[in-house]
Amino acid sequence: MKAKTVAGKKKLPKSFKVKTTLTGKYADQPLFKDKIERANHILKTVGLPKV
Amino acid sequence: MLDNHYNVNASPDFQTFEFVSTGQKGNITKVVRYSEINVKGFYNLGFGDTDPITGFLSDLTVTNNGDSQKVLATVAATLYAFTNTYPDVTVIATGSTEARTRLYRMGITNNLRTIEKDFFVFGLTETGWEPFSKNISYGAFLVRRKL
Repeated sequence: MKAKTVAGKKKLPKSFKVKTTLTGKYADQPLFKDKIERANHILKTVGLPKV
Repeated sequence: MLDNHYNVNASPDFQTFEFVSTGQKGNITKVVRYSEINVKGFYNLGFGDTDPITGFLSDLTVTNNGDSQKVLATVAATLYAFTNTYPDVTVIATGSTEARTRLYRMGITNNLRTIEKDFFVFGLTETGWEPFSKNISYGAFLVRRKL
């Protein structure tokens, strides 16, 4: 998904640092696969909330 | 309270975050990962510990590092950073265990006034999604940035 920054909130908090070393660091791990499957199941069976 | 969080490292795409929990059990690296699911624009919030020996992530580890409020505040901070970058997304969070789901609910409840300034917050009941209310047990949570 293409990044689209919230207007007026571009500045990164001082407590955050961008680290390129994090790119792909966990690529070899099926991260939180169970949770993703559960989230898919919930949205498929329950649907989406009205926002 | 949300201001009291750990320093965070973020991937350039702001979908993966790392921070170190420091407490009674020592230093534990934690990872928050936002992964797009089958519904376009919907992301799962994954959160877990890295095993210090294997380096593998687990969302079932019970750390008991005595800093759960600070850890939850840090996860919330990553949510702000992620939705600053992707404001149109919706994030769904489910606890890996009932205890962890309760912990998420407590974290949202304790900071609801602050969170609701910036997010729509929903909880999942047996009858479906409803706006988050205190003192109700939910099976999952869903948030979307107010623009």
